[in-house]
Amino acid sequence: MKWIYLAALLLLGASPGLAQNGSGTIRGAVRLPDGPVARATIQAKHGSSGKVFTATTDASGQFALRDLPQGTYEVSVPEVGLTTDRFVQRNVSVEPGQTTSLDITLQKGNLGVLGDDNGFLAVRSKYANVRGPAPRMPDGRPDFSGVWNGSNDQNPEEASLLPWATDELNKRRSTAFRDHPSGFCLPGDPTLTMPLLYKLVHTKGLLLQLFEQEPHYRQIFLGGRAHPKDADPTWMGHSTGRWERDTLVIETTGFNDKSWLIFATGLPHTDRLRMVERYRRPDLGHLLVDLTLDDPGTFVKPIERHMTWELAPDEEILESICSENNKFPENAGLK
Amino acid sequence: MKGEFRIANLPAGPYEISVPQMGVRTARYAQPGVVIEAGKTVTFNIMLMPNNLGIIGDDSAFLQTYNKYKDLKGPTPRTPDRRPDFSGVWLANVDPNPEPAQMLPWAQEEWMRRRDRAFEGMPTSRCLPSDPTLTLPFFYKIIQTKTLLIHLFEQDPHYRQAFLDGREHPADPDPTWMGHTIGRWENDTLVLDTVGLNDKSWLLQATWLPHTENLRIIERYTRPDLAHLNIDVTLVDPDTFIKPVERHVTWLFTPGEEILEAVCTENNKFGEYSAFK
Repeated sequence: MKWIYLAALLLLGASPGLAQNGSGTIRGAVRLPDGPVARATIQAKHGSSGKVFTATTDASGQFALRDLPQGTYEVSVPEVGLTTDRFVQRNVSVEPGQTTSLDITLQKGNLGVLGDDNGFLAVRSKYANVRGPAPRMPDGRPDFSGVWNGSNDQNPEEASLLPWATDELNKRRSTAFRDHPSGFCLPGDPTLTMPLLYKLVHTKGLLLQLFEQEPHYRQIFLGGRAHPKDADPTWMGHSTGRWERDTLVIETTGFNDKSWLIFATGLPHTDRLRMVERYRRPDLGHLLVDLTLDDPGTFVKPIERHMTWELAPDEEILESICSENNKFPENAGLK
Repeated sequence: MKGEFRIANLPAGPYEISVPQMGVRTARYAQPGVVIEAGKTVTFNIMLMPNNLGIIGDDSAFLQTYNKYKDLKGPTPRTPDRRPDFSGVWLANVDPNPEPAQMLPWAQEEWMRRRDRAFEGMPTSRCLPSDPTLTLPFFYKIIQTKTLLIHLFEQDPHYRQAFLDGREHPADPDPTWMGHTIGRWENDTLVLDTVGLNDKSWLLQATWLPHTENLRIIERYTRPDLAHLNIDVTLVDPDTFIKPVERHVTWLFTPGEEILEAVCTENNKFGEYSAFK
């Protein structure tokens, strides 16, 4: 994947509004060049207090952030799947009783690659109204089974890396991530943080994850087994899960040091990496995934990511064979 | 335990003595024209040939695993709705007596071309999915739910989904390496039906038959007891085979085993080593 960062088109202005008591409004629309973006999250961070206000666009892409205290704001729209880049606009001022207009045109987060297109938005919109309680297993545990539309962390924190890892990451960035294992049909990333479809098959003793990327599956053993004492390092590691009430806590160790972590971030790591994921399903339509990566050989402090996956019940993962006519090494001049 | 055998009470006459292939460990042995006379004992020592080049993973592990679990006894496990439960890790094996496929001339020629080039064009050597028939004598893990039967395996593409929820095949599927698989129950037999296959895969372990997109794979799964899974495979492709090709295999339940991560693209040397470059 490639990300092109281009300046967004902005229409900024202020007009009288209806807000009272020293507060104002930011109102506008979020679009892509080819149409409005529904269900996008708009965040406004208040300059002096740091408080964050959020709104969501409606079907026609309109939003309104009301009752905002006076001041300047950083307005942002997190990445939407692989479809759009993150949008950030600083110094948006809000005056008492006024409405600030802010129309946002997002930039496509890809090169129009098939599968990186508006499919994410279409799937999201199709299942926007999935409602209901979380399904349960016969033993009363939440059942995570289903096809899920993965997601990005809305506000990813910058990783604090040891010097060697900072150097390595800079090297990766300066070469446009051309050595990413997935470019060579290797398993790229054990963190499952790509905003693509994931299928979960949940049985009493196993949570199986199927996905279109290599190596296409991950097993999480729920039967109380421990990690092997001296595991051969693998790309995906060895995952076990235990329940803390309705939260499944998945711990993975036994990694090799070859994968690049967290999707587009491409972080290096050592084979001391330990990954902890906390899965919750508060209702039918949502799976909350809290990810912690701990590697004292790489990170100054553990890295966290927080994702919300959305149920996409009529979708299915497709057969995807990376080795079939993979042109990456050739096109990147590596062959 | 010493590898000795004895077949008693044989009517007099000529016999063909054979030892079927054992996993990828040994090649099939066959000796025709062994004459048995009334009241006499023929002593016959057989030296099997390894079926591989001593590659790690093709070694004696198959026999060791087989011997570890061959005496497992017990009834067929059942799902809550009383269907046989096929879940578990299985050690597959080949058909002990595979019948030669009868092919149309184009397919016969293509197959001979493959054989004459030592099967070097086999998709697996380029880390592509090999064979939708799941007939390699390796481990397969089955995960069965009310609506799904999933196979996990170490070869690409590492999984197959069979839908048991009553859905039909798509009307016009995009052809894929593994096709689209649905299953239905006939009493205690699960009948899997696969269509929508591309024409790129090579069929049946060590046979490597060509086929067209008209291929249909029918698999009948039965689990007569705890330890055994019987699978009857029928390959129907009127554009390739004169009559359907059948294979009958028995998998052994190996509950203490696990499939391992296998990443073909990691340092794959086949292209470099091929004698046919």
